[in-house]
Amino acid sequence: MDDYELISKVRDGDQRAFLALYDRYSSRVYTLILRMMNDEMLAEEVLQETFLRLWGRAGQYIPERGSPLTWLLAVARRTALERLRFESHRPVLSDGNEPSSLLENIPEPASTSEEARWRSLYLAVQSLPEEQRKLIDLAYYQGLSQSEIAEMLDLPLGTVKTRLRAAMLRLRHQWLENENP
Amino acid sequence: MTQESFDSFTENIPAYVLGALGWAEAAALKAHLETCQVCQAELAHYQKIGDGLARALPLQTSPRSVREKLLSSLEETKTPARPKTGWGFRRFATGVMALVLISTNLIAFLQIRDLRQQHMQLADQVEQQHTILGMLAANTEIHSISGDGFSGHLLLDREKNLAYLLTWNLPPPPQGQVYQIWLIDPNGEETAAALFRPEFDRPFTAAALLTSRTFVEFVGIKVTMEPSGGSQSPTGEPILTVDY
Repeated sequence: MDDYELISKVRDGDQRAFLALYDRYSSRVYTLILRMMNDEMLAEEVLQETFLRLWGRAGQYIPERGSPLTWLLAVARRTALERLRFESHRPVLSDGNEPSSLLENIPEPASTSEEARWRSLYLAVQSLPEEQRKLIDLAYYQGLSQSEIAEMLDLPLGTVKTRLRAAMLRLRHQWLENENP
Repeated sequence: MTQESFDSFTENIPAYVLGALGWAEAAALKAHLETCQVCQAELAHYQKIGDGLARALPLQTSPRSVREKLLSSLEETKTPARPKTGWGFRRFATGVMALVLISTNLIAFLQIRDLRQQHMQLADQVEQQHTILGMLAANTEIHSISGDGFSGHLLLDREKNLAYLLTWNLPPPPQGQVYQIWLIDPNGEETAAALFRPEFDRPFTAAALLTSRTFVEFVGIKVTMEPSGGSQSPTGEPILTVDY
């Protein structure tokens, strides 16, 4: 059964469909949440809340706006950002070094084309200069605005804007245009 | 619209996708996106990166305990707790207590979620009001406005390049329309600066003016009523004007 059928059944209150979606995507959703919360206990709570929102709001899913997973990840990110702001829980800045055990978990390009796409984006992000990668991290995963980042890093706002734009442009060239030459 | 203001919208798209724009800049860009196909195409490109960042992380296995908690909360909400014939009073009372506890927890969960949403909205309002209060300093010019049944002020800080339009009792526009603020330069050319829509139950409205240039390059503002999403140049009659 595909994701669209499952989410349609969840809308009708089908618990088995809900659990099937959970089994299919909870690790992907948890990965994003854990990256944002930087705390396993909080991440578990946010994961639970995200799937409760899926259960209660499956009727709000609009297929034209993206796949069920895209929607679920957007719900997860919003839930995590609300929690971060509510708790004023700001994880410490990453030093940019990824543990080698994490890198081993990245799927090989041969596994599926979808996984290979995300692997290549991950590698593109990792290849950004440290000063640019840190800004992507603070903006996307920690939910900070450009002004908040400028204040936190003690940088002029214009510098933050320029670096963030340069980082996204570089990802666009390195990842997106390789995908659709 | 000038090339400069168009460029400022385009340049803001990557930060918009990352959720890193301030509320006023994000609202202005969102309104602009409703009518600009060039920026819509640009957004579609960057949106793929935004969506991808959510997935492009080394996979971590979700904890088993969350599945079990979800499963039990689904069971609790789906299974009516009805006492069967032949149950003893103690078992019945335990069932009622459990039901009360579950209901209390569910209500508390919903209340906390609502409180979080209210907290976010209030934080936005406080940020806006702090900016306005911060502008009420010696360097801020205050230009009074009055019209048919409404009044207000334009706050302008040339040094900090900040401007806010505050209105009182300005009626909400008809469905499908918004108020649009235009900056006017010495040649009479108009540049879009903000969209706003007063609420029925809130007579006070504050709108931040946005420009990629400096406010000293302009000599005044005007407000017109435009279709939702705003227009590239004014189509409605001026509702108010301010020369500064």
